[in-house]
Parts: sequence; C-alpha cells; structure tokens
Amino acid sequence: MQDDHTPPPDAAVSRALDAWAPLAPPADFVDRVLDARAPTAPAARSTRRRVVWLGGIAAAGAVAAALVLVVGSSHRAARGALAVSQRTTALIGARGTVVAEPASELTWRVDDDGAADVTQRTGNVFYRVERGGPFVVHTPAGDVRVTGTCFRIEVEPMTPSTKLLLAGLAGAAIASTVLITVYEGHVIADTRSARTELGAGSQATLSGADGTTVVAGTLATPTDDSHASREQLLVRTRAQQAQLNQLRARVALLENAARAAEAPGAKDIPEPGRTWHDPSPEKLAEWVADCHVRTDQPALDRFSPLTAPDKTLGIAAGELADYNAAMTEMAKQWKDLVRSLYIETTGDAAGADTLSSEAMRREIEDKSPRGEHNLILQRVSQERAGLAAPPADLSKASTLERLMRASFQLGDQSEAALAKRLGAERAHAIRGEGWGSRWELGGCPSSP
Amino acid sequence: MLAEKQDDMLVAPSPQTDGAEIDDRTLRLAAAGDRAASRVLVEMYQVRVFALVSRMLAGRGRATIEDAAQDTFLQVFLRLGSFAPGGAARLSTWILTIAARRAIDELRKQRPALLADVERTSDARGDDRAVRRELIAAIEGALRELSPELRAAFLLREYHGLDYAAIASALSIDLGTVKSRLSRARAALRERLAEVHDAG
Repeated sequence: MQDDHTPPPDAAVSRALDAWAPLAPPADFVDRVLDARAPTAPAARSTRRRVVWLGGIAAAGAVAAALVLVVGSSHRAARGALAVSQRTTALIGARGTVVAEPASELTWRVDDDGAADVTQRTGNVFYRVERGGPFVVHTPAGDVRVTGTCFRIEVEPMTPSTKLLLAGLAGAAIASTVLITVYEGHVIADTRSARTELGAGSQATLSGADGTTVVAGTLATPTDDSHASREQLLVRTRAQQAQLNQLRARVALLENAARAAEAPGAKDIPEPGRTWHDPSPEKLAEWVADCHVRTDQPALDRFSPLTAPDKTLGIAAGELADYNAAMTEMAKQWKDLVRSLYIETTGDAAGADTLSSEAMRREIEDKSPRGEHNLILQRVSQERAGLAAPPADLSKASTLERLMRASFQLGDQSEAALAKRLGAERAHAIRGEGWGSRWELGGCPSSP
Repeated sequence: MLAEKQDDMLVAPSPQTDGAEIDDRTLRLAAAGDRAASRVLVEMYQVRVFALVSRMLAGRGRATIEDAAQDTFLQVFLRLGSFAPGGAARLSTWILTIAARRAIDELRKQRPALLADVERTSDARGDDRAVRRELIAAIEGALRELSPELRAAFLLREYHGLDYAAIASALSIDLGTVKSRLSRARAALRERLAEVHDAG
C-alpha cells in the first residue's frame, strides 16, 4: 500500500487544519484580565492557577506552587507578597511586571501615586517597569532604584565555596550577593558605600557586608566620589580594578551556568555519578515540592522499525534486528494496554480498532476529571522519594492513573526487553542515550 | 459527515474570518487605562489570542493556556502606549506576536504533551470524533518537528493569515528559513495525513 499511495492534495491539509478547533476563552476571561490589570490586585489573577489566598495557606502546605497574598490594601497603598516554586509572572501596581523564577520571594507596597517599594529577599526575578514615579527594589546587598527600565536581579545565598571566593575578594564574610543585569534604560544601585548608575548592557555585583559595587559592562558612573581625595580615589580605583577583573570571571561563570540551565536539553545532564533516569534520593526529595516526575521511554506510540543505524538512539548496524524486535514487542504491549484502558474508559471497542495508541491516550486523558493528572504526579513523586507507599492494588485505580503509572515504567521495561537480546550493558547504554524521549513532568494539584 | 458536524465541533469562531480591528479612540482610551475601553479590546481579540495560544500549547492543559492568554493581555496593556496605530503592523498582528512570544516561552519550559491535563474542545462523538482526533494528532505530530518559533510561524500563517514577511519580522526569523521550513512542515503534514488515510 505504501508504494501506490499518493499524498493527499492540499484540500486534505486544509480539512485537517479546519478540524483542529481552538479553545474558546472562558466566560469570565475578560473580567479576569481587567481585574489582574487593576493595581489593587497585584498578581492575584495573573497567576490564576497557582494562587493560594491567605485563608488557604495552611491547607496548601508544601504543594503550593506559589503564594500571592494581598496582605493589606487601602485607598493609600496596596501590599503584596509572592513566594514561588514555579516561574510566575505577576504585576506590581500598574507599572511593574515581574517574572519570578522558582524559589524567589518578593514583598511589595504600591502607594496611591504609583510609587512602588519592593523587597526581594531571594531568587532570580526579571523586572519590567514602565516610566512613572519611584520604583525601588531592596535587596540584602543594597537598593536598586529605577524609573522606566527592564532588568534582572539575582539574590544568591552564599554557598561555602562562594562565600570563600567573595570573602577573598571583599575581605569580609558576606550573607548574600546580588547580581544586577540591565537590559533597557538604566538603574541606580545604592549600597552603603557607593551609588552606581548602570546602563543597558551592564551587570553589577553587590556585596552586602561592605556595600562593594563592582560593575562589568558598558556603563558605570560612580556618583558619590565628590568628597574623596585623589589618594582615596586612586586606592579605590586600584581595588575596584582588581575586584572587577576577578568578578568579570565570576560573571562569566554565572552567565555560562545560566545559559546551560536554559539551554535545550540542559536537564539531560545527569547528576555526577548517576544516570539521567536514576536521580539521587536528595533530588527525588527536592522534587516532591513541585510534584516533579522524571520519565523516559522509547517513542512507542508511533514506533516503526529502524532500517539503518541511528546515531541519535545509539543503535549500531549489528544491533538493528534485536532493537527492532524488542521495541516491536514493547510497542505491541503498550498499545494493548492503552487499548484495554481506552475501552474501559469509553466502552468504544470499535474505536479502539481504528485509533492509534496516541489518540486513545488522549481520549483517556480527555475523559479524566480535571486536575487528576496533577494528583497522580503528586502521589508518584512522594512514592519515589520514599514519603508514601505505592498502592498495593492498582486494580481500583482510575484508568488515567493506571495509564500514567504504566508509562512511567516503560523506560525500565524497555531496557529489560533490550537486555534480553543485547545484554544488560548495551541496553543500559542505549537507554543512556535517551531513547529520543525524555520527559520532566510537574505541577501540583491546585489548592482549594 | 465531518462537514455536517463542523458547527458543533468548533467551540470558537474561526479567527481568520474575523479581521476586525479596534478603533483608534478606543485604543487610546484603553492605553490610558479606561476599563470600558480595555474590556472592548479584550473582547475584540480574545478569540484570536486563544486560537493561537491553545494550538501553540496543545496538550499542556487549559489552565496553562488561560494563563498564557491572560499574560498576553497584561503585556498588551503594559505596552499599548508604544503601539503606533498608523504603523506597519495591525494591532491584531502586534497582539498575536506578543501571544506567540508568550507561548514560545512556555514551550521552552519543556513540559511535554505526554499525559498532560488536556483541554476539552469538542463534544463530537463516534467516527467523526475519531477521524478528527487522528487529523489533529497528524497536525500536532507535524508541528512537533518544528522549533517553537516555527510552530508559531506555521500557526500564524495557516490560521491567522499573516504573510511571511510579517511573521519573519515579528518573530525575528530569517525570511528564507520561514518559507523553507513551513513548506517542509506542510509536506510533513501531508505525509502524516497520508498515513492516517492509509490506516483508515
């Protein structure tokens, strides 16, 4: 059949495109947007799914992805707080938008006249601030004053090694260090000993103990030296040059680390001494807070036998037959399982004969209660961390739970199927190449 | 049968036939923070934003899609003062570009479609539904071959009628790349549809 089929004409493409109906906005969407835009309700609506209001904090416990509280509001000022375990976008008053990375904590107050006073205790936060009145971000190492600009602040707690490095540089023990990166406009960094203006493209590191400000970038205009003597200025300049050289290296390291973290496939880097699919107990415990589950599996939904060696999958010419046999067997088992769960879910045996396993999976997901997916992730992440026991009997579990748990086993089962044919070592190595399919699932149930 | 069911299956008006733009006065008022004008703006463009974002983020769940759409409009309001009504871009194009970038950011988080809390878009039943799901799976499969930027480009071209130059400019992609990769995406889609055809 493959030989004589001709590609459908463009009408078939158009028909397929027409079949893909988009999601409609919910009825209250407009109100939701307008409420989120209102300065007296910062962030609460923009993080609709992740918000836990004050009354829900106790119940939310560790599963809350973010806490956004309006802790006080009057005609004179609006206050808010944000603590996130997922990347979260929030509004601060009418002029500020923040994108907070996991583990960031912010509190703020916005006065009637738009003046904003923000405190960033920890984390990595991107700020976009429209022009207007004062907008100040307090950090452990100093204050950042802006008018209209786009910048990022990273408050980094000291690890022992970082503490040693910076203590060596600044000659003092430091509680935290702050890296400021300016993308547009300019900001003024204020510490106890210096006021420094930073332009677009600049970076500065602030240290908290002595208020050292060191800039690496295109623009740095110290503005508080008007009363210093020439000797003081020379000493300060030499000291800052030395610090600048060393901190440039540090900034480069930080940038490389950030790039590595954001690069596609960054999560493919396993922990030292471990494989990707075998995270450490510490990592598993850490992931419970985000209901994070890591899983790998061959692309069984659409498996077709390889006809040539595949470098991406790590399959050599002499292994093709065994690999194909093992994966064909796995694909059949997987489709049989999905088919039975699909029929159990829908009662549609006829449909099961015509649908792909991918389409049947979607149907099962579609018919599951909203939010169940996240509940299952939560349970599995707890079980993997040893905080909960796996269910002794899955027969009464929902079809979605059985489907998800089965999918999480596919990596181990596929490796075992390969090991029978190619030996444990090669099977393990091939799995180490990633199967071409690795997933990082996450997201805890919404709190009540 | 499929054609007869289309009206039931579509849950939102087709955005490519809805090319209306907001008038300049309402636009100015919305930029100044007027709530009624802002409401008009969201009502005018929400279907188009959802159309793009829900397809960009297919399989990531309704909540993620709604968050992205909402963030899009918050960005629109923050930046509306910088939009030039008489400029080269229509407001709808400008808004869709913001939506596309927001969705691209979401895609870069690497959360897979696998077993996501998928959205419910249809009440269709039986054979039509099965066929439709296969068609959608074919499109999604073709789109998975594309980077987030090119996925946005494909959708902006096919569903929102933007021309190649506007797409390339809006998404900062080379024009030649847009043309060649979208052509390949269509070819891949044809192949997948042929597979669906053969399987049926």
